[in-house]
Amino acid sequence: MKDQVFSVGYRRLPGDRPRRWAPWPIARTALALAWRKRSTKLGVVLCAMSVFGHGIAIAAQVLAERVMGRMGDRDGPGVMRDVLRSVVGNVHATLATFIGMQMIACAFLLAMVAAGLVAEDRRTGAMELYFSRPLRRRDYVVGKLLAAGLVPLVTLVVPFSLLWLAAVGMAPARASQELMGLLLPGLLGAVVAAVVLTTTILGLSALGERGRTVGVIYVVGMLVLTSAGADLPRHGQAWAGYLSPLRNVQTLADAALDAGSTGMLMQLLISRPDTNPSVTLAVLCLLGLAGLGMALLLWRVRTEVAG
Amino acid sequence: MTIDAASVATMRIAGVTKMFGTVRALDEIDLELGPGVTGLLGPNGSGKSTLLKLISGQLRPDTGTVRVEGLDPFAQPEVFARLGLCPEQDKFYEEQTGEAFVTALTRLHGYGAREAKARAQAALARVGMTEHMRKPIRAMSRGMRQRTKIAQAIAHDPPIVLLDEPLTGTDPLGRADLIALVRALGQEGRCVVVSSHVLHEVEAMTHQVVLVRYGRLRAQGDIGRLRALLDDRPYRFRIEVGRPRALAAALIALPHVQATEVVGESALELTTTDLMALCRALPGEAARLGLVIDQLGSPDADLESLYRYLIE
Repeated sequence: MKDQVFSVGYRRLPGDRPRRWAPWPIARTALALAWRKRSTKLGVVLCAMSVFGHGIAIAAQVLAERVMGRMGDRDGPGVMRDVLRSVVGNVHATLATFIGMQMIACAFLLAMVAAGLVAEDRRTGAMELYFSRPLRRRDYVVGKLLAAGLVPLVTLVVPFSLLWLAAVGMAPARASQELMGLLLPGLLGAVVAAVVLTTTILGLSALGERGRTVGVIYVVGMLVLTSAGADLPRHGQAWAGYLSPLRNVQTLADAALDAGSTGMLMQLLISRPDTNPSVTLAVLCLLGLAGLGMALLLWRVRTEVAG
Repeated sequence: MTIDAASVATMRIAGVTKMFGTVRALDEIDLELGPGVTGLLGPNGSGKSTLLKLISGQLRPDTGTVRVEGLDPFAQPEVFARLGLCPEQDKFYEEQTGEAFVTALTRLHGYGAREAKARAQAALARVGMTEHMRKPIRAMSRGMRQRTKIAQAIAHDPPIVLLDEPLTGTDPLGRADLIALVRALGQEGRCVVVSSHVLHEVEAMTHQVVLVRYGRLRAQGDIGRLRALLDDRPYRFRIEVGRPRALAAALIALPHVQATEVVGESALELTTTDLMALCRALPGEAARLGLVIDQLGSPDADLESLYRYLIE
């Protein structure tokens, strides 16, 4: 008969406690800590105001054109085309501006919320406490990605979808059909921007030891890259456009707009943002930036935990 | 469900060496620890913290194996469901309250929000922090922070608890409470390892010790038995008695008594190689001389003298 011990002192036999998803408590703690800061609340208010402002603009554009459309129905298809152009074109311009502005606002907010996610864990030694729990490295990484990723999701992706939905809902029937074509490119741009912003802030956070320093470097870096990417191509330095994550996102979204649109939609657009000449290169730059951020994060967690 | 008899020793450390560059932090350590409180002792830089980090999976040994309940803590984080660690340094999010901090860490063990909170509150109550648990950690005293750290280590009810300098910064009353808590954890059958260099505090918690110096294991076991093993080091013994000279003359004749010294008018100090033989012979000699022994004791049968002999 095999020797067996049925109970040893306190020793409790392994129970059937369900394993809950570990990354969520990590993300929740990070977000709860960020929410305690006044600067975070201020950033959220600014983002909300931007969403609200763009929402008002889109609603006003659509409703004004709707009224004008009713008035112009008697005058034939030429007027209808002009009305359509102004509805779809204006909404497109507003949504494109929204993504650009929110990307900058989101970078500010991320600097407040996510700059210290890994850096402060290293500085305070909280990583040691995390990894004295039944936690794998990937749980920690996913938890931090989730905490940082929720910021652009809530301030960029979800509001974009809501604004688009509002525009489609309020627009006249023909215009709303044409507005459908803006969803995929816009959503693609918003999601790619969210991924790039999230991974780069976490990559920087993995390099630093103080959240505030990381945040300042991140915001300044993003502003410098964005303005260099916007100005230098106008002076003949086309390559500099690829330095700007915003311009690369716009290039990708614009390419998706071209690929998925009917000829009619393209004729209706009033303005399109400045883009880089090569979509492939823009995508590669975005992938490179996101990949670098992820690589830094994974490297840091690996070196910290492997001892 | 049953536990295999082979897994009763909670921790097994076999042939473990850990190098930091050219510094040998731990050198061929072999150790087995079971339920109860064990004091891990040694001077600064002796390898205590490295040993705790190996047990808690934060470091990988260069050679040898570490097994906690049969699992490799470095490669199998499942073991941390049954292990609680109180690190020496403060590792807090200062803005959090004590309750939120302990709850957040307890949730990582797979508990839901409500259960984690209840467990955190119970653990904080156990370390005497009920009144202060809603204070931000940044506003807590050193002792409160220490208690909060201990609470996060025990909130998930682990059978193994590692405490690195748990009494640092605590006031005398708080220290007594925490000593009682550590003893209670040991009496519950948990394997508690307490690293410290405050000897009398460790002695108040346990008689089981592990002594390390220069990364090598110097001794492991019960303080009294370890002292008895040091037979090349005679015991000093002090007797307070009315006529010490008469008793000294009688005792020096015993074969195991090496020397006697009269201290003042009412005390005698002697050295013996066999403490038990002296204890057996002393009542007879005192009765024969008609002496009443007021007080007796061995000033070097405690942890401090053991530490002095083995470490210094």
